[in-house]
Amino acid sequence: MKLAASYGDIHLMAPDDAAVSFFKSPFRAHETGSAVDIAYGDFGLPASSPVDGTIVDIREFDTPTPFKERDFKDYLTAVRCGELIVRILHVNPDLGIGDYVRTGEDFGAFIRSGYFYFWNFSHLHVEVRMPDDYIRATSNMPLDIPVGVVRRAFPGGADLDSDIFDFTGEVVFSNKRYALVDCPDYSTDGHFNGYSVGGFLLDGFIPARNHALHRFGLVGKNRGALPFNCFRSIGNSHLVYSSGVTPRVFDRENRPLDVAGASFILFFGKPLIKLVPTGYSKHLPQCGDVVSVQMDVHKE
Amino acid sequence: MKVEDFEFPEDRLYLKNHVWVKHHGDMIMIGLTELGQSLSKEIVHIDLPDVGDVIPKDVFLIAYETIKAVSQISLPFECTVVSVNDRLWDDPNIINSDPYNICMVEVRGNCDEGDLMTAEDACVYYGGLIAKERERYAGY
Repeated sequence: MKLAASYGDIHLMAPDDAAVSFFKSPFRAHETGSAVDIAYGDFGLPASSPVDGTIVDIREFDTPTPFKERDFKDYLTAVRCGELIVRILHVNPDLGIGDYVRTGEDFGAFIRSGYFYFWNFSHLHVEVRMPDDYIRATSNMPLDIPVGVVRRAFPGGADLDSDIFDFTGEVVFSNKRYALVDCPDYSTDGHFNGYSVGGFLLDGFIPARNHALHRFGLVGKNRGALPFNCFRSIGNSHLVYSSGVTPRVFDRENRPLDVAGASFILFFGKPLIKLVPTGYSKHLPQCGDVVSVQMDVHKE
Repeated sequence: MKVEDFEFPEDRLYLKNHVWVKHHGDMIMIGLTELGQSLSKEIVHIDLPDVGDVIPKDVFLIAYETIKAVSQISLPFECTVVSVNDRLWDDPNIINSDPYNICMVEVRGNCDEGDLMTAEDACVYYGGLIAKERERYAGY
């Protein structure tokens, strides 16, 4: 297990093959750096606990639905860790209130609820909360993100501080929901691996079409000026506006590919870039295709 | 009137932020549409203004939270808060179960200044929004 994030002496742990995200989701706890999404496995497959503790509450609840006759259930599992509560969403627990769960122990199965987009990975949404205030969306407590100084994983890559980025790689997975691109020119801080701009690991979805108010995250020990307009800085991370950047995707013949955007998160293993189609089952590059994800950064 | 089975009663007007507005004498009742509550299921907390507050146009009047999301309501006209629904403090989830009979606040103001939609217009606008929302759920 690897450290995903911490709050005081509560360490939120993730499997070695997981990827984590602090800022990809638009929900409030992510805007304040107070939640980590731990992604691995698949919907319906087992999810493991990020902490040791006693399950003190389980709530089934309704989530957003644009269908009058279709409900999408989710579950809140509250695990008591010392004086605090670790609240976990998006897992249908198969343990009960009063059960003790250990770090890495399976406690339920991943579900997809009304909070998901069709292209999202299965994941746990994890927050640390006060024991008397863990139900509502706010009252968040910012997490410590275990990130250091970001550098290229391998020598010979593009300048880390460049304002022009060209991640070229091979599509290693493609279905109706997304395509995954393996670009060898990635970056690392020694703990998280990902793709970087301006000395920060990218954490978030960046739309291909300009959305002035859209935001994504930059994670890494500060190397100087931020390459984007900042909404909020939280420790070693920053939530920035995507108005200064537009990812463009090209095939091997340099023909543009129409995608909704590119999603970047942090991996413990080899990182991948997720390409999101303009709609479910819309065109995406296929396995074996070589594509480049290019971004020009213009701070306004 | 209905769009995709979601009701938009013709006895009130609508904003583009899932809010309905209904005249009641010289007062205006404010509530959440059926579609609005469906996209904010399981409301667990609400912040209401104080009676007598004067809320400028486009400034937050009400904030409500589900287990994961936060939503805020503002109005396109200045208003003075006349009453708030005290039942919501203890059980904000009643909005989810009966959205068109739960008035969140009553205000005074000139809502003619705002960009209000009839039920017919609301069905057209929200029909497009429903279609876009449903794209998120494709393949479920």
